[in-house]
Amino acid sequence: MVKVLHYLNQFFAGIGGEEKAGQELLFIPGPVGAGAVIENELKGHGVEYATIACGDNYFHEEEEKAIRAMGAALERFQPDVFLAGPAFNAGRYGLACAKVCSWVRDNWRIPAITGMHEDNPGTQEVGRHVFVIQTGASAAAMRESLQRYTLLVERLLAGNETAVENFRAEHCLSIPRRFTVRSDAPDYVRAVNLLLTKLNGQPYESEIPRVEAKRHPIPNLTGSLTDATVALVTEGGLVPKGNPDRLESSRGSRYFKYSLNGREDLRRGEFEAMHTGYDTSTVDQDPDRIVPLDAMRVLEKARRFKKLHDYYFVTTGTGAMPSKMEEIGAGIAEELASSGIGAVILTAT
Amino acid sequence: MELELVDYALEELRWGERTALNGKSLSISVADLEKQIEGLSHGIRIDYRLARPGESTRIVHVLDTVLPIAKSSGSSLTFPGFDGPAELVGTGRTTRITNLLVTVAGRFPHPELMTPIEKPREGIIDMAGVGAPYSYGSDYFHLVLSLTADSSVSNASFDQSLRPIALRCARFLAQAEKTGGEPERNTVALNQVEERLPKVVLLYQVQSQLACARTFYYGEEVSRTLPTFVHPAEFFDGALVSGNYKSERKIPTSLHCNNPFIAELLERHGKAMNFLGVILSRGYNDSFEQKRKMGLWVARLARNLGADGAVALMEGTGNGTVDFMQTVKACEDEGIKTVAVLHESNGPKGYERPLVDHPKEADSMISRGNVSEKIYIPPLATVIGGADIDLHLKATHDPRLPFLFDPTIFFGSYGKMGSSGFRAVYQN
Repeated sequence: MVKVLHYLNQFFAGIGGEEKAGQELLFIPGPVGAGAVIENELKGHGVEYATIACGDNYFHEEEEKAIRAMGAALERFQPDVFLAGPAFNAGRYGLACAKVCSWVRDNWRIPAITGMHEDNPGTQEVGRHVFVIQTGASAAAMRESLQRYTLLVERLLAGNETAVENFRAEHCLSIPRRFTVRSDAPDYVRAVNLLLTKLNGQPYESEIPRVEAKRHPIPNLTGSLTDATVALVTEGGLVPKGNPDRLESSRGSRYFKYSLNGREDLRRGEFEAMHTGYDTSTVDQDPDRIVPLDAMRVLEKARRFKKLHDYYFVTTGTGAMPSKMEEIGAGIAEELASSGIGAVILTAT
Repeated sequence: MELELVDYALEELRWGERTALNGKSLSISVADLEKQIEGLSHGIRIDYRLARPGESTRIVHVLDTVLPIAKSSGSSLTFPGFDGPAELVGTGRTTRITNLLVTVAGRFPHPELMTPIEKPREGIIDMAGVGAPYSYGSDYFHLVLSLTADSSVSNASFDQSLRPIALRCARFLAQAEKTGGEPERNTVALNQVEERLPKVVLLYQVQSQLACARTFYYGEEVSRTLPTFVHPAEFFDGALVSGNYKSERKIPTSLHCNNPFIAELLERHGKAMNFLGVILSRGYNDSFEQKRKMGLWVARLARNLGADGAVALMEGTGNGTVDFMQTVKACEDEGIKTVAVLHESNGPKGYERPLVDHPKEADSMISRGNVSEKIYIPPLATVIGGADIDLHLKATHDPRLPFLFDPTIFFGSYGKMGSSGFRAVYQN
């Protein structure tokens, strides 16, 4: 007896279309839609099949809740294999399938299989060891895709690693990502060998590829500074004393804004810096040194610019992944742009 | 300059009435240890525990590990600068127990008074299982000193106390009475070699910023020194001592004095190369200009030593990478061919840019693996040192339960991943 749990979105679970995108996670004891096809194909293996489904919007807006509900479903059903999708080229569904499979693989260590088209943004969220079956761009490719799901499940059940690896090579998407493996020698031996090769003038290869950071040129001021509202933004982790919103001191995943309204400067004891990347004691002594409100008020009175924005924006720029920082930066920029801000002073550490 | 090493290796570690090494079995008396550190541990209670390689044991809150080394000739002491005025080291004879660590574990008494950068990061050592190849020290025997300070002890005094406590225990253990076993004898020296062999230096960049994230050279904070030449024999005598509690990225004191890169270069000296010695420098300088100058000074020193090539190592991550890369760039600009060793942060899903800084001159890197990949960490039978672990200031966790985390939870993991032969590659 093998237990298969299959994740579907509201549409493919037959719950409804966009109007049901807010559907909370449901546990359905039995196969639904694509699951029924796979279950039928696997009949000879004695399969117990169940389905979990939720709305695409629900998953993305309430991800933590959805994952928690999914954890409870896994706890209850105890699956041996986890399936999600296929999502074809549906972006939100693909992202959900990728995240759900990664979470299941990491936390339950059972095979997790999804399927999508190579252009699906979900390909950027696939964790290690998750199988991502290549599919066409639309549900027109459903039949062929489900045959591949079945074939992979059968090969996994047979425990034939070579057959599984062959399947991966033939039918899974190639999504190049960097993961840890064991090499044939420790770093100190490889380092000295590589140096000798280099010194001998022989061809050599770096183990770490050089990936250029994206360049973000500083934009030019449009219009006149004297007409501009200016905002202060920092990655230096300055928050009101006591850190009411629990900004992380490293690996920041969020940003906050705090009011400057009615303040002439930031006083010692009222603010503190949450940041493990620099010595915050100087900033704790004078918070203006990371969010220079005192100087800005002087310039504001001298009419060097129109007005200082009533809020400063803050995150923690240490230990975090560049993709997360891009997301945070974009969020701050969007808020600033919609508040009619004309210029920003960004203080970094 | 020549240092003779007299090396003993253990096969057994146990408690005893007296401290003695009989063949390959070391017995330790707690009363002896207490006598050694009398006066050093005011307000600090110490639990003494033993751990052995392969045991299903997890040691938590690890702050440092120290190799038992002691001078058996001359007037100098190992770990110069701690316990009295420093004298030059790296000559004479040194006795070592090569697979034993004095392991200091504990929490600071007043974490609420520490700024985020000062707060130690949780570091655990798994003696067996999935975590062992990520945990520095998993292949050593351990005398664990689990420290608990009462509230009268300040953070600064806890930091200042734990080093002499560990260093004295380490010196004492190396001096234990020995019967019935023949040591292995080795010599550390840079003898003259054939002129045709390429001349190579080791660039050794440490983290030294402020209290709780610093490194000492002859007892002096490296933050206050310029790049300097250090003879490999000085490392073996404990010239460098760690005061850095950035657990995953730190070079523990025992790794400073028993460093596989130094050992490997000594091994190849006279055969494939002429190893000239080590250039010690500091990362985490405050400004880009300072980082750049640190690189220039290292390169100038290497040039003046006559180096054709360099292997470059660094302690730390992020910020310190910039100092490191400026050093690699400056060396390459001076015509010194350089191979640099570093961990990668490719993200839990493997698609992030591997390094925060990577100039084109750093064209021959050695990888230690992806340190941000999540691994499933099952529990071990015994936990030494505390009832909960700190998942890097975000949550606490019962160390007797499984958890999913990246290798940064393991003590000394960046270096250990390299020694374990881990590297990152592109996978589909």
